[in-house]
Amino acid sequence: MHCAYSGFRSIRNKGCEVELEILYLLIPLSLVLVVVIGVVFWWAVKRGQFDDLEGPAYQILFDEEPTKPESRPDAAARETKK
Amino acid sequence: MEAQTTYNYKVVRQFAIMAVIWGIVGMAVGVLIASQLVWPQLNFTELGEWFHFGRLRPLHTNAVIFAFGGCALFATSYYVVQRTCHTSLFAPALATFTFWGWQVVILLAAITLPLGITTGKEYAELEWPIDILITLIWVAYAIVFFGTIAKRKTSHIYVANWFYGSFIIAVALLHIVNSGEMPVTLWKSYSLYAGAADAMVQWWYGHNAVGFYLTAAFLGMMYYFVPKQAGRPVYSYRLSVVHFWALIFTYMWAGPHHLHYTALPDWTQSLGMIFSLILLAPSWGGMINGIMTLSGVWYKLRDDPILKFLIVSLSFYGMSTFEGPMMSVKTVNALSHYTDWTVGHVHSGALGWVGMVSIGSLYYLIPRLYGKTEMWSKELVTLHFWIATIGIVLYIASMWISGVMQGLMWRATNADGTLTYAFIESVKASYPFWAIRALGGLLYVSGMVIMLYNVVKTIAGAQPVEERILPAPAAAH
Repeated sequence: MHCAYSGFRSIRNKGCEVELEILYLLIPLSLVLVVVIGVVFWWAVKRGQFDDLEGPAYQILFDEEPTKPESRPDAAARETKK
Repeated sequence: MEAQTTYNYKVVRQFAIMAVIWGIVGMAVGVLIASQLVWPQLNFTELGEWFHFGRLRPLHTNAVIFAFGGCALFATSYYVVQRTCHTSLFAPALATFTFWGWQVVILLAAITLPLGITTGKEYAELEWPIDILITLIWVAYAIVFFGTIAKRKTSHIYVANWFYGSFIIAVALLHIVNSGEMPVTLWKSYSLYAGAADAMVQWWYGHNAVGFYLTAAFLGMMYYFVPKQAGRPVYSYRLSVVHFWALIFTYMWAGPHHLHYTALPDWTQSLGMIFSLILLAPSWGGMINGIMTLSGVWYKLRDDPILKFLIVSLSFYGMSTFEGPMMSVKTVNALSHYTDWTVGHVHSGALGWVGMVSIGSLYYLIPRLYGKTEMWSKELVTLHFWIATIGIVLYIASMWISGVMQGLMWRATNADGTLTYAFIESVKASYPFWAIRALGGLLYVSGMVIMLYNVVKTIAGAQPVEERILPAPAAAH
């Protein structure tokens, strides 16, 4: 039997099966989100965001004025990565 | 237009300092309501209804999550996005608006909630005019954050920004859907949803707020401040990227585990349980990644209290992301639901993970915003660490014991099928544990007061720093 959609009512039982209509909103919303996340991921891959998965970790450590030698960590470790 | 040559630190400073102050306020209200459960006269009934547990409990949750946690997230995200993108903030005027707007939201919450003005939706109690203000601030936040990423001087977007960005987008979506409401008067509205549907939307919001606000956003903090404080790159950058995508792909459907054994369809409950169990994998991947960042420099943990805060926060993240999936299993939930065990679990995440990672990051951040590299007193940071840790242990251990005790007492039946205990007997048996919980909370907020003193001493007489933007290092690797 066809059950007409009637807003965000929770549980209806008028000759229809008991159902939770909010799921018709939340489940498609989740699926849309998964697609959106997938598109963003694809964009990021295409733009080369994940081509180098080593360097960016080191780069954030070298963002200070080079006058403070103690703040330059592991220069040796950096060399070995080249 | 002349390109700006220094970072926008003013808004970072404002949010960072307010995070400490709101932390004290929110946690002090927490200690008060914890004490009300032990000493009911602290409800101050003779003064009126404004200080009752039911009025102050949402004030506590809003203050610690949105005032303390929110200010810490605004401060660190504005700092991290500028430094990792090697550029100043996009639309700094909007950033200023987010600061003052957010403070107004917090003040409105502090006024309306004790007055009993509430939507009655947990963690979304604020009424519709405040909801609209939050939406405007959030749009401004998104423009500033993503605008800054768009004008970055590096080609790569550092992983912390992905976490912060997903948090901003997800919270916008959650807030808009869950705040669907029909205004009746200026301070009264009714939810667009009813009955079980309302509960479903509420916990879709509620658990995703845990996932994207209290987890993803603070992971962004972790992925910047743990490597910086340790002076080491994150253990595996590759794993951090996998962590991010796995977490956001799988988070959205854990919410129904809050509604086990309710009017929600059974399959929906099971779906929520399965997604909660799946979440253990990315959570632990991230936790191990953060902790292993110290590999090779474990000795630093011995005398660096900021690293202690950050690494212990990750341990609590690991603990509560194991406990959470376990509690989402329906058979376990049959015992734990509606008991203090849930309260203990939440606070293991809130005090242990969110609180400690924020405190550690703020201790790193605040001196640097004033041209220093260290807090005024390292000893007080160490003292804060131990007081906070002991406070958390007292809190969660007492809640575990009282929670399991309550669950067992409620389900105990006699041979003839009648209940062994009246509800009030379980309340009576819980008193000692509630007293221990209040003590744990008191220790934790005392640590925050020590922090404020240390912060005041650090910035007293110091000049707010204008730091020059350095060009991004060449991508040599």
